[in-house]
Amino acid sequence: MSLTIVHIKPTETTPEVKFNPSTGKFEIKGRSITENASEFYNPLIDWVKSYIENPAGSTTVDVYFDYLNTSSSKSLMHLFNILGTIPGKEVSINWLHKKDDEAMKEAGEDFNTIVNLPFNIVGTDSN
Amino acid sequence: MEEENVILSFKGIITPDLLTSVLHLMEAKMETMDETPRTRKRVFSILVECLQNIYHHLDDNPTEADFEAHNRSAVVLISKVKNQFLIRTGNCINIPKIMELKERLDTINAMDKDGLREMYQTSLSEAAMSPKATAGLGMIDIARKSGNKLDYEFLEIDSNMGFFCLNILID
Repeated sequence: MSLTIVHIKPTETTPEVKFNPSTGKFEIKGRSITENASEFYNPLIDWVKSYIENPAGSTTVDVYFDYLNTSSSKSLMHLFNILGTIPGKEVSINWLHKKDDEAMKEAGEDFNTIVNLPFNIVGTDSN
Repeated sequence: MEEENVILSFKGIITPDLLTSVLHLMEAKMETMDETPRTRKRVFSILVECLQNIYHHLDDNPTEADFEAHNRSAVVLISKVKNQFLIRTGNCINIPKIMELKERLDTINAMDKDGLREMYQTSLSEAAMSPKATAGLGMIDIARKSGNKLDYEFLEIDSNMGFFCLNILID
C-alpha cells in the first residue's frame, strides 16, 4: 500500500500543497485564509496519518505563507502534532517568511513555541 | 466631527462566497491607496478574522426564526479616520450567548502584549487537540494584530436577540 504524491494547486484562499511520500519532502505555500480550513486540511491530515505508518527516512516540511488565518493555524498545528508522532522523529519544519513580513515571522515564532519538533524560522529575500 | 472616509461598507447575509468577494475588493482597494505593505497586510488579516468570526458565529445553530428574522445578516464598515483604519462589524447574537462572549472579550482586553501572545499560543495548542475548543482564537489574533483594545457594545433588539457591535482600530 503506497501513498500517492499530493499536489494541490493554489487558490485565492488556499495554499499550494506538495507532499511527496517517498522523499519525505512536504511543501505548503501561499495564502491560507479559507473560512473553512478543516474542509481543506482534513484530507491532508488523513494522508499524513497514513504516511506516518511508513514514513520516509526523514521528513522535511517547508512552510511559506503570505497570509495565514487562525482557522488554518489550528489545522496546521494538528498536522504538525501528527508528524511529531513519527518514531525517532526524523522530522523538521522550515518556516519561511519574507524578511519584512513581521506577521508571518511572528506566526512562525508562535508555532516554534508550541510545536515539539525541530523548527527553523528563515527570513527570505524574495518569493 | 472627525473626518472619516468610508472605504467599503456592506450590509446583508454573509456567505463564504461573499467573504471572499469582500476580501478581494478590499485588497484591490488598498493596492490603490498609499499604504505600506505592512499596514495593508495587517488590515487584510484583521478583516479576514473579523468576517470569519461573524460567519462562524452566525453558523452556530441557526434556528428557522433566525432566517425569518434576517438574523443572519451583518454589517461591515471599513473606513479611515485620520491615519488609522477602522473596521466595524455588527451582527445579531442570541441573548444567552452574550455573557460568554462579553467575558471572553473582557479577558482579552485585560491582557498586555505578552499576555495575549501566551493566551494565543495556549489556545492554539489546545485547539489542535480538540477542534471544538477553538473559540476565541480569532479574537485574540485581532487584538494582537490591531495593537488596540477590542471596543464592543451589545444592543438589545428584543428579549431573545441582541446586536453585537465590534470596532477595531488598527494602529
